[in-house]
Amino acid sequence: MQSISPASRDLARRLLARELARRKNSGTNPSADPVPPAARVCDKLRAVLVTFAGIAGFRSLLTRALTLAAVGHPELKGLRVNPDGSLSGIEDGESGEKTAATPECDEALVAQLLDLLVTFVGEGLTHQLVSQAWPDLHAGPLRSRTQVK
Amino acid sequence: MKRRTTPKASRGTRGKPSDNTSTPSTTAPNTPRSSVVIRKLKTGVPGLDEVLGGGLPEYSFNILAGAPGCGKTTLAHQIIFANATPQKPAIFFTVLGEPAIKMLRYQQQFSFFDKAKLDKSIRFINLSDLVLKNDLAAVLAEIIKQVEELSPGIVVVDSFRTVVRKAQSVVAGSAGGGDVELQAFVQTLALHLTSWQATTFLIGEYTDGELRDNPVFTVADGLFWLSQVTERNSIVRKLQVIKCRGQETVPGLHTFRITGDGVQVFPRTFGLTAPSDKKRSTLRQSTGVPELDIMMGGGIAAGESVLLGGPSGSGKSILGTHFVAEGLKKGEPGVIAVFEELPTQYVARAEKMGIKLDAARKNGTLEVIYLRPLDLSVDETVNEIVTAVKRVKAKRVVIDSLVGFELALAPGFRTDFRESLYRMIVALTRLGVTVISTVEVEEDFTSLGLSNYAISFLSDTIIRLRYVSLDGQLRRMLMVVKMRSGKHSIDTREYEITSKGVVMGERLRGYQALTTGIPGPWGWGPASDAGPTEGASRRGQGASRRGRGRDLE
Repeated sequence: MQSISPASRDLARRLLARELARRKNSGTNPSADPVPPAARVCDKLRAVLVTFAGIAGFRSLLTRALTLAAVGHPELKGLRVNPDGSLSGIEDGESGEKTAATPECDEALVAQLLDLLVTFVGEGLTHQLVSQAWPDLHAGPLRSRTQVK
Repeated sequence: MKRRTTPKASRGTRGKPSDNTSTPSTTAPNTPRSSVVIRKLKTGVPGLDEVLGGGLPEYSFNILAGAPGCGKTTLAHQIIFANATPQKPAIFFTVLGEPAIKMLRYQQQFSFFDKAKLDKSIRFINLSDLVLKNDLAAVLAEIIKQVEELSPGIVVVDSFRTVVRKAQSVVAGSAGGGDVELQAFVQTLALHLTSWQATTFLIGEYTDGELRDNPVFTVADGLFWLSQVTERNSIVRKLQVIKCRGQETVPGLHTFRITGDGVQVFPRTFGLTAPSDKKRSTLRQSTGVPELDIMMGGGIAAGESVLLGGPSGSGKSILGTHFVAEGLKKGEPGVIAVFEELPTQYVARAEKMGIKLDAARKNGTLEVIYLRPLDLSVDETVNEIVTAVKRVKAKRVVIDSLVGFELALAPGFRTDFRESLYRMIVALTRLGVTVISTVEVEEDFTSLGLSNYAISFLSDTIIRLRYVSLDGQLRRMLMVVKMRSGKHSIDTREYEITSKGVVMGERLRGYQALTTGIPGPWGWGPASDAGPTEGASRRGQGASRRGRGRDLE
């Protein structure tokens, strides 16, 4: 499995925590909000990335991230990337429904997606894209696995 | 949408670059004959504004065309990064060309790529999904929607050719004429974009043969053709402004290069289209060799071009170095363009002769520029030299040598080398600098060639160095062949190259046919029939050389 850079993993963790907190703060019952944090994070990135990369461009990135993450987390193999770039098959542990994906799986998936972005367009642009999706988030320095090596 | 005014009319700006600030403008009121002044956007591409007659006409509808790999996308990026602001952003639509992620990956390697401009000033929008659905109306609607929302100053559609192909395939299946409908599509897009006050670029991959009868080209205000010309093993990039409505463009093919800084165009005018304010000086500039100055009536007339011809090892480079070093002593900065050795080697060789150049290089009064990239163009070379001249405010330039220069050129430029040299020398002397060009002349010992390029007429002054066989020795002699600026000595002087550089000797007397390189004493051989005009005696016959520098009579 390709290792994920610690910075990408850290940012993924923060993004997931943020989405989880947002849901908790909104007072929504997890069972009433069927979209789990990982899917939300990917969806927010999708909204930003589709504008310039197109749906096909985003789909290919997310599919690759899923493939890479599934190597270390086989439970992710049940996930599918839909034609519009959204994720399906992702389960929500908090909602009490069957838990196929653990928080570590979510983290691995999002971190792989971020790492791919850093690899292709660099740290600066990845920061900008993340900032567009989460304007109030301060993302620390990011280095992809290739740069870490 | 915010209402914008049009540029205020101003007289006498045609052909001159305008600044890039947003100046409110309109047709001048109460002056029925006044015409609208078209504001010109600076392209941010060195040399291109010169070719365009000052910049890009604002609100023009342009096509950047050429084969894949010509630099179209890079050129467009450079233009948008130079012009986009949060107030007047740029939209870059990608269709089915280069995937956007890849494009951003590579384009950010260029120095002009400013990440801070993304999103706020420059927005990349992908339309491939709409094009794949064959929904041209939706493509048009999406472009218009985005333009209306963002009110951009610049809009780029890359690669527009894909849209056109889709349009052709769609209309081919319909009852309407394909070309007419395609033209309508393009015209609608152009009208929308123009009326929304955006300067527009469509990027397309076209070949030369497609230039005719293409409705897209008819509609466009500007048509910029980029190409890569292959000759033998060389590739030279060229740009032609085929059309640019309302602009005094510089015609012809202009070479350009893509470096880490993006596209740089080398206009055939060398950036010197403005009238020269330089007046010919009556000043004489010392060559650094006092005896040679005397032969030249005090030195080289400032602002003239000098051809220094001679065989290999005759001291051309050393004389050039003397000339520049003398200028530096007098506070006249200089530029030496070398083609055959590295600047460090050049400077080290000068140092061996006691000519110190290093300090001047360090303090910025001398630039030794090495010009030997692959497939160099004349325009690029001159651009480098002109830029260096302006940078150090040079008064003296040495080009060492024309032969090296020719060898550095792409083969295609060698065929018109003479014309190119003419343009180069005119450009440099227009700047008011004195130019010495060294040229290696093949010595054949039967005649006196001035150069191998038949370029003598380009030079105001010609100094010829040559070997001469005298008394069993191969010695060197120098003569001033031509000086447009005044009288000069007609002596043939011996000289030596010593540890102090060029040291002039005496006039060579008592020999005939010196200029052939194989002289004989007067009265010897067939030449004696003509009779000598000087030293008419047989005194030189059999004279053995008793010491260098002495009178040989």
